[in-house]
Amino acid sequence: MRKLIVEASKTTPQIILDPIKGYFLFEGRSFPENSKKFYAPILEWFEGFEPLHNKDYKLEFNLSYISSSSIISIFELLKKVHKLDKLGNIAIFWKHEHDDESIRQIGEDFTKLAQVSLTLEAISTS
Amino acid sequence: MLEISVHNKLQTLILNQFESHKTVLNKTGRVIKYAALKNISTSDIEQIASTSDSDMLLSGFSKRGRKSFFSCVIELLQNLKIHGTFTQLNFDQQFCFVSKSDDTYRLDTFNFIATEAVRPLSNKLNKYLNSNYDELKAQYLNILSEGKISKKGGAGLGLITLCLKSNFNLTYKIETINEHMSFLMFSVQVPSNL
Repeated sequence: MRKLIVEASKTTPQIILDPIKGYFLFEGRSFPENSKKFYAPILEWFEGFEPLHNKDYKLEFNLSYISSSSIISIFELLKKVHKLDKLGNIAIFWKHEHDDESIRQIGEDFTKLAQVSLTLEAISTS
Repeated sequence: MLEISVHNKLQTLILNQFESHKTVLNKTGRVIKYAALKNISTSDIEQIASTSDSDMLLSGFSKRGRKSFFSCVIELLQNLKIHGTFTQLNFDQQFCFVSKSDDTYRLDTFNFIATEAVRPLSNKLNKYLNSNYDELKAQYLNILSEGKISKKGGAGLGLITLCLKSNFNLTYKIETINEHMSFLMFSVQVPSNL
């Protein structure tokens, strides 16, 4: 499976999907004009991804703003990852600035609704 | 020919509304930070959100207030971008104002809508605005778990997010012009101490 990198724009996050390193990252702001269209290739990438038995994976979200339609797309992505993670070797980290209640809340909502185990990680504000 | 004439009427009407809205904001002592009468673009939305955020930081607004206003700008203006063209006549002009007072930041928007869309929209808005936080949050989670996004990219969470982020400081006004056309104005504001 090939590595996928999407550069950040003013309205979309940087995305790194690196199956060799076992590292997946979503970082920045997410409010594309059409989130369904923006996240479609990402969801498609995960459709074709099969985690290896003897490898650990890290999926990290470090988003500072997420629009409501992006929330739905990311939720869909998390449900997909949850289905893929039959061996429990994909660890998901949901980062939020320590004083950013709204991003933390989104992570909590995802945990509640998708029964996905997210590690909420408060980071200090620069 | 008829279509051009109706187009001109809409242009005049939106211009009059724009000017009268500007006068009201000035009279109430609000400082207008941004005003535009145009087809709002994605780049405009990003610029309005980011510029407002920087100014709110300088003006001492809380981080929660800044993030809430940022969210309101994105949700309301993306909503305007998706639904703000009066498709029956392909009239794509809208307007928006960002204004501030000592203790609030506010976004006002205006666009034309089909009269047949008025009732469903106002029913939905009244339902949201008459809910309390917990009720609305439950509706939000329900829509999120269903996870449907339209082809245009709307998710149905935008209006709920606006109510929640503004702490229900969302007002709207709809005026029916005739059986085909109405106009819709939204106003959302965030206090400095949110």
